[in-house]
Parts: sequence; C-alpha cells; structure tokens
Amino acid sequence: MKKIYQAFVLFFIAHLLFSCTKVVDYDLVSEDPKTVIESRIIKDSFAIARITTTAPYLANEPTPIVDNAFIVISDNVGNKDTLNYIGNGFYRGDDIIGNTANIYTLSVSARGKVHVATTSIPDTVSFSITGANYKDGTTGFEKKGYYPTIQATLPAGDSYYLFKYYKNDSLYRRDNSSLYITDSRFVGTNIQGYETPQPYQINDVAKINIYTLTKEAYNFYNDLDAQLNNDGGFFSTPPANTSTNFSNGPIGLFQGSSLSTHSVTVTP
Amino acid sequence: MRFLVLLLVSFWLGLSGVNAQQKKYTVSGNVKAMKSGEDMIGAVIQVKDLDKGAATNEYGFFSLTLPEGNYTLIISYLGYTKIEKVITLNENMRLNIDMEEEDENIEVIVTGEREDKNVTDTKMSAQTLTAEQIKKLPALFGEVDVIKNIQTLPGIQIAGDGNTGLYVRGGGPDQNLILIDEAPVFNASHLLGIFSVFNSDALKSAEIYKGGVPAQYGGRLSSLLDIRTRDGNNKKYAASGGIGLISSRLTLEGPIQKEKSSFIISARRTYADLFLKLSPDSKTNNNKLYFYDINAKVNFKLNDNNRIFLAGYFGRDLFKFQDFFKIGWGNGTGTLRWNHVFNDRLFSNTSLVYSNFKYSQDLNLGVQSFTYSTGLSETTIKQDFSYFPSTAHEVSFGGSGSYRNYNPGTFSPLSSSSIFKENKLPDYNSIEGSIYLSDKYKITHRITVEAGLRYTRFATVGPGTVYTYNGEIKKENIADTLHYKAWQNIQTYGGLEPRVSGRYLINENSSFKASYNRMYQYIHLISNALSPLPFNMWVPSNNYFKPAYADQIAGGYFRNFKENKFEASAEVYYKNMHNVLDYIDNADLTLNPQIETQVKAGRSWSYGLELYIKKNTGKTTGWISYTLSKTQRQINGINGDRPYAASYDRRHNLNVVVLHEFNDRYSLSATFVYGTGRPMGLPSGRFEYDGYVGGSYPDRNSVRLKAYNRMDVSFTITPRKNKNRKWKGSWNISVYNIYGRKNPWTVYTTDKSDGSGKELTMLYFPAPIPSITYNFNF
Repeated sequence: MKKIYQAFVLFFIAHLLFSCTKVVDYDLVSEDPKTVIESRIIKDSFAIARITTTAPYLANEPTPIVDNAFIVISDNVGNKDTLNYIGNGFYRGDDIIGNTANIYTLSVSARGKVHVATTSIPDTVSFSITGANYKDGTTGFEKKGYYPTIQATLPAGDSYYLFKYYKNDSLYRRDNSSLYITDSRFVGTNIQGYETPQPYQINDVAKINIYTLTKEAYNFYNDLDAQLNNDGGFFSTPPANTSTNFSNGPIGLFQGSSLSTHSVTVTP
Repeated sequence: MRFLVLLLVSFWLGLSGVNAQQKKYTVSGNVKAMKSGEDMIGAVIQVKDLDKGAATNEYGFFSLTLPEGNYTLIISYLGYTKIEKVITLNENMRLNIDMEEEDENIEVIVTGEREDKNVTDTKMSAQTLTAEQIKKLPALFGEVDVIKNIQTLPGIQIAGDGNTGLYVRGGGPDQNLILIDEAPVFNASHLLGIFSVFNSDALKSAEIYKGGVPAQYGGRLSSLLDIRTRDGNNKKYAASGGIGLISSRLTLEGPIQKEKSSFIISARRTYADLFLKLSPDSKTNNNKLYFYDINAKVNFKLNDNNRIFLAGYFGRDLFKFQDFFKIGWGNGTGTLRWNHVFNDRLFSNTSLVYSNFKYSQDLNLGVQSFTYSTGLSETTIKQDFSYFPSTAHEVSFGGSGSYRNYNPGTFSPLSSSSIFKENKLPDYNSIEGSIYLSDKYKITHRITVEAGLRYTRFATVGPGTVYTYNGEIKKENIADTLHYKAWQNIQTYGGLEPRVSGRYLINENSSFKASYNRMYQYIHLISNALSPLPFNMWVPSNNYFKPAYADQIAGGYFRNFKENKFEASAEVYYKNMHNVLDYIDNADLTLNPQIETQVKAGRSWSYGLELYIKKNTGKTTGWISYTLSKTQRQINGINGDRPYAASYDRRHNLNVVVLHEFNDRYSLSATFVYGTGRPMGLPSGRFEYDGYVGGSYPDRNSVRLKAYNRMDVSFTITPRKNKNRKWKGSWNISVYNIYGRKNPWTVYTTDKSDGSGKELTMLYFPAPIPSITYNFNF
C-alpha cells in the first residue's frame, strides 16, 4: 500500500470547498510520435508485445499501430524466439515459455531504432478469497454491495503487485483511470481482510488476478497511475513521463509476472 | 575581507570621533502611544536644524548622542501628532515620550514612517505594512490577511487564488524566514493556504525584506517577514473583534498593573462546519472543517531599564470527513524576551524562542487504517545588542544558537486488524549557531552605508542514520548504513554572510541605493507540489543536501514627489541561488528513508525590475506595483539537465490598490491583480497501454496557464459615532473577484465522461465571493 493518500485527501477537500471545474482548451506542445512498447512474459505463457506510437494528446483517436517491427525474446539459458505479428499491433512468441528461474531479454526493432529490455519473473503470490464484507452504502464513501476479502501471505522483503478484478468475466474497474497496484513497503507479510475496491452483488462471479511485478514494472505502473490520477501538480507530484526498462527512449515496459487467480460466486 | 576591513575601519572612525570632540551626552528613552501604551517601532527623533536623528528600534527604544548644548527634538510618527521637546543636554538623560493619535479613528497602532524615509533610509527592497493598511484592503471571506497584502507588493508572486505562499524574487515558498515575535513559523497557512496564520487583530507591524536583510537575521535565502504582535493596552481595558460569515475574532487587552504591565489575548475561529451541524444527515453533521488560532502576550516593565515579555501563538487546522479520515496541522510558538538597557547607548534584547509544527493524518478504512505524522521543532536562544556610539553610527551585534528536531514521518497502524506495520523514519537533529556585527554609518549627509557580517555554523548531529552509495545516489546502489549516536557530529557546514547596503542622497527628494547580500539556508523543505502543504517535511543540510546559498545584488532609484505625498521607486535585482532542491520526475517522497535519491540540487537564478508608486496621504491613497521578472532553474538530472522555468515564474505582475475615503462614514477600497500564467507540465502526446491512456510529457513546466487577473472591492461603513459611547462598530462588505474571472487553480488531465478520450479540466476558485463582516471595539 504505497499511497497514503495525502495529496488525494487534500485534492478531495479542495474539490469539496471549491467544486468549480470546467473543461478548458490549451495549446499543448506538439511532438514527434514516440514508439510505445507494451510487452510482457507471464509465467507458463508465451511472450506478447504490442507496438504503437503516440498521437496528439487531445486527438482522441486510436493511436497508430506499428505492424513491421522485428521482436525477439531470448533467455539466459540460450533460447531465442521471434515474435510473430498477429494483427492490431500485437506480436506473439511461440517457443519460449515464462519461467521464474530465467532472465529474459526483449529486443524490439521498430521505426528505425532498437530498444532492449531485460526482466525476471517474480514468483507467484499465494492468496485466497476468504469471504465478503457487506456495506450498505450509507456512508457516501463506499457503494452498496459485497466486497470480497483476500487473505495473502507475502514474501519477506519488498514485493510488488498488479491487481485486475473481473465481474462475470468482464474487467471491473471504477473508471478508465483506475489502476490497482500495490507494494509491500508499509504492510506486514500476512494480509487479512483486504477488500476489493469495487462492490459485487449476489450471484456475481468475482475474479481476482494478482500479477507479481518487478520493481521496474511497478515503477512504470506507478508513474502511469500518477498520470491518470493527477491534479496538475498542485498538491501531488506533477505528472511526468513514465519510467521504462527499455533502452533508447521509447515509452513502455517489458513486464515479467507470475499470475495467481481466484474467483468466487458472491453469496449473502 | 576588504569588506571586513572597511567595516572595522568605519567602526573605529565612529568611536574615535566620539573621543576627539567636545563633551558628548546621550539622550535615550522609549516612545509610546499615549492611549494604549504600546511601544512604537520606527518613530523618528529628529534634532531640529541639525542633520541628525535617530529612530526607535523594535522595542520602542532610541538613543541619541550629541555634544553638550540645547536642542529641540522633533518626534514624529505617521498618524500621530508631532511633538517638539526642548532639552538641555549637560548630562546623560532619559526621555520617555507619549504620542497622541492625530485622528481618533485610527484605533490600531501603526508602524509609523518618517515622511521621507523612502528616500533617506538605507533600507531597500523592504516594505513595512501597518495594521491599519492591512485592514483596509478587500479581503477574501472578509478575513483580512497580512500575507495577502504583501502579495500586492512588487517582487512578490502568488501561487494562485487564495494561496498564502510567498514567492519572493524567484525564491520558493520555503525560502522565507517568517517570524512572529522572533519565533519562526514553519507553515504560515490555514485551510490549504487560503488564510495565513496571522490574525490581523494581534498584529502591530509586519516588515518584509526581499533583499538587504539585516545581518541580525539569516537562515533563509529569499526574504524575511518580521511580524510583531501588539503588547496590549497598559492604560485601560479594551476589546475589539469582528463577526464574519465564516469566522469571528475577539481581542481582549488591558493593564495588569497600570502603565507597568499589560496583557493581550486574541483569538479567532472559523465556523464553516457549524453550519454542517444543522444538517439532519449524520453523514454531513459529523464532518469538521475549521481552524482556530490564539495569540497571547504579557509584558512587565520591571523598571526603566528592564522589561520582560512572554508571547505565544497556537493554531490548529482540522478537517474530518465522517469517521474515515481526519487531518490536522498547526504551529505553536513561544517567546520569552528580556529588554535591558545597560546604559544610555547600549540596549540589549535576550530571547528564548520555541516553535513547532505538527501534521497528522488518520485514515480509518477497515483493514487499511493508519495514522501518519510529521513535523519539526526548534528552540533558539538569541542575544542582540544595539549600540549607539554617536549619531553617525548605529551598531548592532549579537549571536544565537538553536537546536532543531525533525520528524520526517511516523506511520502506524490504527488498529490490530490493520494490514499496515509500524514505520518510523529516523529523526534528524541539527544545531545552528551564528554571530553578527553590523554598523549603519552616516558618512556624510549624502552617503550612508550599512555594512554587516554574519557567520553561521551548522551541524547535523545524531542520533541519525546515513546511507552511503556506490556511484549514483540511487536506492539500488546503497553501500552501507551508518548509525550515529546522540550528539555525534554527522556533517558540519559554515559560511560568512556579508550584507551591505548604501544610500546616496541626490537631493532631498531622491536617492540611489544599492545592496548586496549573501544568505545561507540550512533547512530544506522537501516538496514537489506548488502549494505550501502541511505534510511537506523539512530536512536539515546533511551529507547529501549541501546548504543552499544565495547572492543577491539590487540597485534602485527612490524619489518622492509633492512633499512626500507620493513615493516612488524603481529597483532591479539579480539573484543567484545555489544548491536549491527540486524533485526528480515521479519522485516518491512519502516515508522514504533515502530521500536523497528523490531530489537533486542545482542552481536557480532570478532577475527583475520592480516599479512602485505609492500615494500616502489625502482622501485617495494606494499604490501601483509592477514586476517584470524571470526565474529559471538548472539542475543536473532534471529535465535532461536543461534549464527550465520555476513553477512560480511569472513574467509580468501588476497590482493596483486604491483606497478612498468619502467621509468619516464611508470608505471604499479596490485591488486589481494581473499576473502572467504560471508554467506547468501538460502532456503533448498520448499513448495506450493495456487499456489505459497515458501521456508523453515535454520539458518540465513547458505550458503556461492562462493569465491570472481579478479585482476585489471592499466598502466600509462606520455609523456616526456617539461621542459618549464607548462601543464603536463598522460594517465591511467585500467582494472577491468581482467580475468572476475563472482563474485556474490547477489544470489536469481527465477522461471524457463518455469515455471517448482525454480532456483538460481546470479547477478554479468560485467567484465572485461576497462577504460581510461587522468589526467592533470598546
């Protein structure tokens, strides 16, 4: 639980006090498109990557895809696997399968540049869904419904996680800017009663995916989260470019993760 | 070194001058307001027909040494009737003067100024504000505020609507030494910066130095704001106060022992949340949002040569949202002061000062419950002497020692079921000592030089923890962790701080002034946001944060018109600041034991032109200030090592303040503010990643917000007085931002509500904001 919500609390107060907001138009600085690399290797799966470029910030059109990149994944035990283009900017490997014992290097040749990143795959975290807390929604702070709770045992030392929640097999998040990441910095090793951020109703199937992250991957998501939930730097850190583990200046990440998943049908 | 020699020579000349001539005697004493017994700071004692004089110091004391003879002294103070006193000086004598107010409307003791002080004083880049002036300007929510007034002066930038952060000549909000009765205030804001912690009812004077800071003061790079509170009426009991829409104030004062001792206690509280209590909804009526503060002071005159003061300030802000979260912060200060007159020429002030600032936050969300706190405290002992060897010299010297303790963050679970674990960053501790010597030397009628030298020594001491790194200072490069015992020296720094200012009188109406000063700062506010936030932590200079220092040169032309009715000045300055800190991109400043990995040190520089014209007297008074300035930073490791604009850099800044008195019943005041928009970071490109839309950001602070401007108007009605009635009241109606300009507080990126992409949203202060306040005294 990295964020202790100071800036958030103040921004909340500021909103409460001066709840005047207005959509505005500014002439933003224009820039040449940058290469964007979204790539991951999950334990027991093939590597996958998507190559796109940036577009003007307010253009509100899909970002352009790059379909002619050359992408190779290799591991530290001598294996190599070229990722094949499968459409819509996506590339997939068909040989190397993620293993927590190995170190992986992804080399992406795109738009005249070569970008290289290396990652390990942090081991799986064991967790279970222990029940659900009901909230009646009268506080105004939380919506009415059932909040499944998690029990997890974290390894000693720093560890980092990305959560994805699903409701009846659809991705379930508060809005397009809700990114659920956490680290173990301020918590103990035995987590009890950690609730999902969004409520479920009776008979909903709640599925929780926990991806382990490396420090570099966590930093990328954390920076992205700061961009998604920024206040322009008035109370919180001003948004800035996301960090990356790729060389030669693209935006993006080569993520190595183990996935643990559990689901439950919500009952009263 | 040459400067030091000059100082010593001038000092010696001054002293030898005393010996070489005919017999001299000293007249010394205190100047007070007749009605309240308040000491008057800066009252002028002029020797008639001679180009000689003195002014009272911060405690109302003056000393004037003259050859034996008969003299007429003219004692003057703005708003008070001039007094002429004929004296026969054939021995050292004591002269205590009571001054009578010119106009009984002026209830508040003001800091008077010599009429032509603007031209004749060596002081530049400084402004004194009177409590009366402060009260006349339009105020947000009717709560008059000294900091808001200061923000209308040249060279001072604002952060945005309702923000009490001070940005002085390109300096950050942590570069101001803000003193209340000599005690430092570490966070001068209430309610997220909408109000300052200074209750105007308790104030006697406020003086801001943007440069040319006297050698007596140090510790911050950019400014000194010296706030003195009133001593309390030592002749009769009095009460004053105000009832406003969101806050009320009450001040009580009076003699403890008539003309010997007095007390004053001043309090205010906002009560926006009291309206919430009226709500039948338990969710709403359980919320709290308020601040309060209390100023209290007692002073005892033991005899003509000894006085003791005890002053304190305590203030708290509290915000509580149901039972989920609660944040609170506040300052507490205490000052014990002893004024002692050793002899007619040597005045001493000894102060013991304590100040602390605390912030705490509780979040109570089931298993994610925690409490977090941060803060710091300072204890200082100070000894200052004023020595008046002759009319040509005013010497001050002294020293101070202080101890600070910093709590950079303590985090603990709120309940046993909380998933959080205890996490306390080790405290920092530091000691700082200083000595100074300064002489204001009137060399000729035209030339006066004030030269001073300050030496500071600083050490950060144990108990403490220091990390060492292999190569670049990054968390992954930690080589070793060193633990220090209590009082063990961790790192020591020191520095000489020369201060010189001079005035050349061109004629009786105009002068040139120039100043140079160096300032050292040994404590740093670790902040990445623009607002002066209560949870920002202070850290001392240590192995990684070298002391920041600034060199500033300033020059100015000062001119008064129409028998001092108008005063005007044009100043230019250049300030070079070293070792200023800025955060790296995406800095993680929360509970980070290796905070040195998140900030970098570099250079910042600022230069500008400041124009100021003020009309002092007549039915219409006011001032216009204009600042043209530029503030840049260059810090290796930030923004690709390229220079960038500081986040409070504004090219143009204009303030127009007009006060008009129609008659003794109605008065009107208006202020107009214009500022170039502040720079900030907004993305240029967008990228998609796993269903999220992120941004690609260009250089730091590369987009400017739209220009800031607003006009405030205030109207005061004083009902006709019944001469026999003690109760006096007045109504003040004010409107903040009368034409409802939507000035951006901040602009941020958001998702379009239909989910189709991104847009920019501006958060702004509601406007216009009307308010009404009833002020009274009896």
